[in-house]
Amino acid sequence: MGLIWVIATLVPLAAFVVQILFGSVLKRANAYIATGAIGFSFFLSTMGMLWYASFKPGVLSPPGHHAHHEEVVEGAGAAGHADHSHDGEAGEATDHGHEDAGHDSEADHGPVNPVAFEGSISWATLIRGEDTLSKVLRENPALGDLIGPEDLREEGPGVVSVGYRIDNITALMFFMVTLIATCIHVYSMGYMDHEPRYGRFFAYLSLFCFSMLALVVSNNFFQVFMCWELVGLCSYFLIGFYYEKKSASCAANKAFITNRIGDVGFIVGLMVLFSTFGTFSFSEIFTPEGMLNPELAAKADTFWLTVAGIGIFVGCVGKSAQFPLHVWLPDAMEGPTPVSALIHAATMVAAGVYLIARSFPLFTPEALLVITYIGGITLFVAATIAIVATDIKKALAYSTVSQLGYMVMVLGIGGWIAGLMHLITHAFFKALLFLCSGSVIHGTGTQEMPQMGGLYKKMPKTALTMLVGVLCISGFPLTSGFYSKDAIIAQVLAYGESNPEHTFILLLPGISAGITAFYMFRLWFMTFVGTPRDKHVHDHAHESGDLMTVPLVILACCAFLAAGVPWLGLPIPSLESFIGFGQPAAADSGQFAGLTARAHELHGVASVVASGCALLGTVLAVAIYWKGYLSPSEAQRQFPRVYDLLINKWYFDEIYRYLAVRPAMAFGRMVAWFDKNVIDGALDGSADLTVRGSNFEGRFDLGIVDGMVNWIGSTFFETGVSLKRVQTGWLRGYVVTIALGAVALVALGAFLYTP
Amino acid sequence: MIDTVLLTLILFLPALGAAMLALPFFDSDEKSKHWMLINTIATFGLTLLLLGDFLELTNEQGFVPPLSERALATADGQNAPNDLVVRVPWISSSAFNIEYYLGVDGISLSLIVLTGLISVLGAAASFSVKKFTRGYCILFLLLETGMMGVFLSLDFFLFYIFWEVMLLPMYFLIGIWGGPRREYAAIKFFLYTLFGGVLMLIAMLGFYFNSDPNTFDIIRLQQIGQTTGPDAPFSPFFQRVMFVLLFIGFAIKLPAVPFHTWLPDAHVEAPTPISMILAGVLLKMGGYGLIRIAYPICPDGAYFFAVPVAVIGVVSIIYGAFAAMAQQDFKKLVAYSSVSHMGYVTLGIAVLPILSPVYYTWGMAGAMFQMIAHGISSAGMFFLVGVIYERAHHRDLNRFGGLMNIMPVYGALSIVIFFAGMGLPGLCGFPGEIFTVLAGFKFGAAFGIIAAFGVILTAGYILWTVQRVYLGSNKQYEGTPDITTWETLTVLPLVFLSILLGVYPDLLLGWMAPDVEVLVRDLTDYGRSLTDVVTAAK
Repeated sequence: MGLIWVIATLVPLAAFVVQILFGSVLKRANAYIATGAIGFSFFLSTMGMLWYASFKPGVLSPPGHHAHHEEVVEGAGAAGHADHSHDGEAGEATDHGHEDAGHDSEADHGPVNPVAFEGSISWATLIRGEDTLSKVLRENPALGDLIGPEDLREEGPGVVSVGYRIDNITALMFFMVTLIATCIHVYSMGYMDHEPRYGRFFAYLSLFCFSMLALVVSNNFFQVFMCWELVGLCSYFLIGFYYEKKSASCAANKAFITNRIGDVGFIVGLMVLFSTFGTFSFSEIFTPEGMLNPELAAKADTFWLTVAGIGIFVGCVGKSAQFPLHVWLPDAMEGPTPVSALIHAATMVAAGVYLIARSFPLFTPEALLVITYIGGITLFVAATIAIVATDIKKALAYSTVSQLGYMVMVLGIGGWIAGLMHLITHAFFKALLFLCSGSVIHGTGTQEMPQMGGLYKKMPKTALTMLVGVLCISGFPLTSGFYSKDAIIAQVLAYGESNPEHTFILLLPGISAGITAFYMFRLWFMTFVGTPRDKHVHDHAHESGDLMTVPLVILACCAFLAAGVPWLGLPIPSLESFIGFGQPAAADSGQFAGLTARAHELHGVASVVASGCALLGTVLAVAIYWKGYLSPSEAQRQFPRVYDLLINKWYFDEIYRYLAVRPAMAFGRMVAWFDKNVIDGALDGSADLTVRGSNFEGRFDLGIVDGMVNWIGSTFFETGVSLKRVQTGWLRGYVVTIALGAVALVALGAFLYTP
Repeated sequence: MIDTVLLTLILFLPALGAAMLALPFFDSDEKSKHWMLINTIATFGLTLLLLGDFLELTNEQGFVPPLSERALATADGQNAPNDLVVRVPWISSSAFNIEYYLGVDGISLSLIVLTGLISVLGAAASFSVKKFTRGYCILFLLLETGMMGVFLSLDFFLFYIFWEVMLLPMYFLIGIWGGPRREYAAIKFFLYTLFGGVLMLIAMLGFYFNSDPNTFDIIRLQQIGQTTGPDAPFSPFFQRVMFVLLFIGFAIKLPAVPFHTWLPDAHVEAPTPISMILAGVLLKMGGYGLIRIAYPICPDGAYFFAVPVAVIGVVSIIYGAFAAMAQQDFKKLVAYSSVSHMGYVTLGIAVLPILSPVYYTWGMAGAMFQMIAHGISSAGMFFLVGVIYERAHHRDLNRFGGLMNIMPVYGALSIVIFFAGMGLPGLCGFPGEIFTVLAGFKFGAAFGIIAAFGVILTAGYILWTVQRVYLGSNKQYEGTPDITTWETLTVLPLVFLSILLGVYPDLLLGWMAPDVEVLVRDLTDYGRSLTDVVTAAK
């Protein structure tokens, strides 16, 4: 029944093909095809979600219990428990209650296998298996013993396959992507209404949806990589959608190339997996309960494992816009706003986080430390830049980078559930925030917040829904963002307790939580309250139509409720417990043993810390941007250096221009020069020498050879003249004679030599 | 019997067509061009027929018997009725032992079909040729015979003849129908290839005189070369020397840095269809020569020089990409991109000391796939450059812009082809590139990683080109007519194949990979007999 997801993945692809082939006929009908396709995918994924739950009822059990993995992992051993999990068998999770009765008085699901369905087909077959062509070894079995160890013989991957693998994370991501994408498709029908390339926009969206869904359902790293590049391609097309603008095409190039830098890391990761493990498949690399397959792990030394982990993580750094490859995402705001919401906030950029979570058991402690630090730096740097951004979309873009940093960092410290939870909640509220900003841009015609102000009365729906988003991202109690950020802070506190040497990096999430609340309220206040700063803009501002506001309302509800309502004792599955069902054992063993439980205990402290920081930021924003007690320009004057650093985005673009782009160009010119002058120079020089030598030699036998040549020449000329009479042109005859003659001569010569 | 006719027809139908063009009937340019097109289409049809016949050879174990098996069965006089091997004594079997000896396996067949296809498209693209049309058509068809001969021959002497036969029409096609510096380019091309040909000739004679009985039979020479033990006819030293000669000869054609400088000049000066042939087929002869001759006959040399060859491959990838980035001439950029892309072929073939047939297959099959994919995408790229050159009369990248809006169909087709060249998953450039890079890493981490960096550079120059030519807006070329139906039909098969092979590489690998596997197993088995190689691998 995994087919339901396969169909849901392929429907947008079919829609894309139809749109691209018949786009000129369909024109605006493209929008309906695209929206219908993704809507159907959403329907299927909802069915799939229910289907999944019926196969794995454990996923729906009350919250707070899956997390207790530690005694199981310490106890009977992972392998023993894996035997109890049977793929695709309904009710298996409930059996565990009896098996693990000794560990926990309440129902403990232990290391369940979250994978419900899996299947694949061959994409590229390089080796067809033993019975085909290993002739030599078959005929001379002795040869194998003669030449060396067994491992030199028949090992390694012979097939690259594409397939699907459905576990709770896949089902959830699939559901999230299709839901948000459906909302954004509807929204786009309003937002893109007056665009000349309306049809093509939807074609690209369909292609993107397919690529993203295929990425999520992948059962192996190779397929992830292919889809990884495809979503990047769609991102490229959509960032450069207004390609008449130089800035748009430059931003598109920047996004693609920066992502490709990350992809080299990903390829390195693939190469290590390929050469040490000989497989890309998730189910071969990871055990069902989520550890690195011990058989394979024995083959690889720690160094290469770390390289593989960091390599794959570098791919995530590119795609999820982490420091130091974050520079493309703010520029990507050149694309239409729905694209920013779908691709550059909710789905594609989260793919990096998804992949970190997916390959979590692969990461060595060293790789995880790198992940932690990169995430920590990113979340802080991006948050600081967001403070001074005046372009509403760029402010949101930096906020996205910062929030992705949270997810990456918390994954690095073992907060697998917290990271994925934040991925889902963030997807909803950030998509909402972007769509709201799109509505503002649509209504006012500007992206610059200094030209806005006082728009609340003009566009109340947008303002209110955006306020929901702002509350969510700031982490106000009862909003989804509160729960996910709280989970992150709790994990950070728990990790900090046992790893005090990393305290510095662990302070950043707390500080940045305050900054987040500050810049988000700043954004909202600058846009919607106060006196209008630009009369012209204000006069023309209007609320958007229903096509745009209805998705806003839906997304606002989702964003508010995305985390569920945990801890109220209600029998409703929370997001946390749904995700926690699939938590890999690796996230709760080894250095992370007991951390999840400790984080649970720290929830209370964490919520105080997180809310406190958020409150502080909010108060500051109210004081400055609403009440005007403090003047932002005064602050700029007080700290000119800091302001310069932030307004120039920490000078990353400049650094890259001088350290990477220009040197690469200069090196290219150098290579071209070398090619032209050194290699060709040497060639032409030697040719020249040969000519001189021949001239010198030529003087000796001038008479004899010349005479002969003249004779042959005149003979041929006469032949040519006679040919000319027959034919229409002299040169044609010449060519024919030469060409055919050469063939004939070679053949004839060969025959003549026959004794 | 029927296979004899089929193989011979594929080989000589174009030449026959060329000869018939000498008839007075073809008195108008139109007639000549149409005849050329019909002829290439017929030949292409025959190659497809050959493909069908080849697949029919599939036995009950599910694979086609390896070429060596079929060829040797023919030699023993048990001539199977339809084994796609033709052996007829040509020049005195007692003294010189030169045979009219043709045969196909999955490796050569894929290149033969590619040649057939690119020739059809090249002929279609030739309809804009204006001067000396009949001569052009004759040379074009002779060229096709030469190319087919190279891929079909199993006799080294025959191979060598066709190698040189192909050279001459090419020389004239560039030298007469080329651009302003055509003579320089044509002579450069001619001398370079001739130089390579001479090295090959020496190696050929070396093999001939060191084999007993003296033979030009490539299959037999492969067996002799792969004989191990102290009394092997080809000593390791001999193999290494011969390998160097052959490698340089084929690397020129490939072209690998530093033997590549004929290529940019030849491409820039050659007319569009000839550029298509040059990039689409001629470069593949170098790779084919390595795969069919240099590696199987001199495996010891291949093992000995594996590292230098892999270095040449990686350097070509990076060097070509950097050089491409610095070009202002559209065609030169595409030419240097060929150098870069063919570097993956060199790398993929070079990595045999990994000694595992499974892993080495990734390198070799990747190299083969890359050759086919490059044949498709580069031919397409050159054609598309030609389309815009005919309209704008220049190729200066900095003077274009905005063509996407002015010529939307052209823009869309170009995007597919250029992204295929960039190696985007889902298009044909990807599998070959990734397979060879993966195998390169297995051979030596540095090779894989450096080659992977080529991915960034490739994206860099392709995207920059796309931006400069297609994106933006431009008043200057407003009103330029979009790509014509005829031109669309010419490039559409390439676009279609780019997508098809990218989405479903098994289509090609299905009949190519088994023969690659046979070759790979032979080579790795040989390597395992070399104790020093095995020790190094551990």
